[in-house]
Amino acid sequence: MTPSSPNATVSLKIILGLCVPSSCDRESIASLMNTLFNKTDVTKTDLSCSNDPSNGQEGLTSGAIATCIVLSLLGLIVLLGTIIDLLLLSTDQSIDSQTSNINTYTSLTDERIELIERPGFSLRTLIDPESRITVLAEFSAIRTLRRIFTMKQKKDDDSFIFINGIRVLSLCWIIMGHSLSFNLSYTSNILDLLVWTRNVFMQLIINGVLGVDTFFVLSGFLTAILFVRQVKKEDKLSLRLFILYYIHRYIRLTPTFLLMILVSINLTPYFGEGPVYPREKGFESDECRSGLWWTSLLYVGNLYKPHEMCFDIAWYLHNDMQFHWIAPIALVPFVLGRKSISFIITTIFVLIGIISILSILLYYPNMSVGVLDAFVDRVSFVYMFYFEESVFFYVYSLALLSIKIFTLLLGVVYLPMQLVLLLV
Amino acid sequence: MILINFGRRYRLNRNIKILGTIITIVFGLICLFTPYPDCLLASGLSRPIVIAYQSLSRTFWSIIIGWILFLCSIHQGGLVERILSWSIWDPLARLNYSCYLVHSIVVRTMVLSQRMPFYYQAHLVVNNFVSHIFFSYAAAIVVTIFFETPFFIIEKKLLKR
Repeated sequence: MTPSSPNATVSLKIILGLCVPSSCDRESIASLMNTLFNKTDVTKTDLSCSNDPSNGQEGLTSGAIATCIVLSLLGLIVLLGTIIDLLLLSTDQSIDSQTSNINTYTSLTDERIELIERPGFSLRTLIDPESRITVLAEFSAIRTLRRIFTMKQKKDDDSFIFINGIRVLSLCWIIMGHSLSFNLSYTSNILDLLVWTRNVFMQLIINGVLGVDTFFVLSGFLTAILFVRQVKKEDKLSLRLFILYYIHRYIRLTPTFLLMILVSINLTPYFGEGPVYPREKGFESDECRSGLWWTSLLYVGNLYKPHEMCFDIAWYLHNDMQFHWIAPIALVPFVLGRKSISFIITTIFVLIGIISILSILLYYPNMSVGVLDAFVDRVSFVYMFYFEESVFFYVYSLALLSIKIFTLLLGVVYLPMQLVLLLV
Repeated sequence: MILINFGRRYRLNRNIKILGTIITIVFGLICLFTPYPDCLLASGLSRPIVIAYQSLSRTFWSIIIGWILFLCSIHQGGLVERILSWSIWDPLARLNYSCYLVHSIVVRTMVLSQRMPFYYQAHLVVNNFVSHIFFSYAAAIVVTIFFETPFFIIEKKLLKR
């Protein structure tokens, strides 16, 4: 811990693991420690026992119960949807098979046909395809699975299929980074890991941070393209378009995100056990558990009390949403035909980004900058960089910018070509 | 927008394309391997280089991605575009948001539930990567079915009316 770093409050402690029979209580373990190490300042509050009850109490907390109720409601909807979907499928099939039967055995008497047709009819009236109940079938797990796993690609010119590949590969890169970094505090041979960083290939894993930047660029690219496309389609900038622009993204992302926070706060204490598993609090901080989750609702968690933010990997979502809010500053001049203005604005964004990082680093000359340091020293640059400054600002705007540079370039190429064509 | 203005038939000069790709690869190598000497040298990199790297690496990186996006959207990405357009990415990309959300819970649960700390060896690291990615996407299927799709359908119904 460098004392010169800003608000250095974290002190590193040695954690000692001790296996004792489960009949030992905290009191006796504390006194055992004191005799063993000849110290007297170990109290039972310093101990964290792996068989402590989850959430600090026996049975479920009220929060956990509420979460379970919400989850089971969702489960119920999906279950109902699946049952109705299955019924619809089976009636369709049975009717099909009956009609084929009727076609083959044309010699059947009318009575018999009626007999055969009747069960189909009753089922059909039970589940009328037009009725409201069939709406539930859309929630069916089978339909969702089919939707996820269809590989048929639309081959039209408007889609960007290649983006799927970039998205998946970047996420895999990020998971690789996290899989290593979440684990750094709980390894027997952390020194070996430090030695490994001398291997070139480790650089690829350490720099997984760049995978997040990829997401920012993609997000900027898509926002710009979709915004302009929408304006072109409606032929004007309407207020409705703006409201939809903001609301649509918000309601696409928020419900899932909130449910995950709910699970993370209330249920993660029950997900596992072991000497280092946080049975007491799950994966979330105290502040988050006592109501800081509203910052996630508004997507400002990286600005207000960033260290206590719920669901720490979600800083990306917060940043991204903020970029989404400000992106029209550059996009509106563009769709109004003032391309040079939007070009200037994006350039300013990029410069703000670069300068803000530069000034942070110059202001705190002793700040550690390595990615690996961030896990040891929580006030290091990387940490601050991610959570306190929206420096990602400029990556995003650069995505917008890059498209615009191309546009300008193409405009320059395109105009003379047209002239030549006209002359010919 | 170029894509809208000029369609996606724009043909890029071959030399420009090669030049751009070479520059992109160089940028990529710079971004990925500049911090490498920091791990090799006892003294680490000099401060000015570190500062320059931190302030500029993201800009360079987004130029790289921007170039790839540009080439692919005018259908001149060649091999890279073909790989990125494999239909295997399709289902995974639909799970991506759920997977991003759920992966930290999955990885933390798997890692912190260990009775003993890991003793890291190369194959264990690779093993962890594969299993964490696999289980994250598997959990993402559940999250998509129960969390994402219901609200997606409700939203669709609401906006239609």
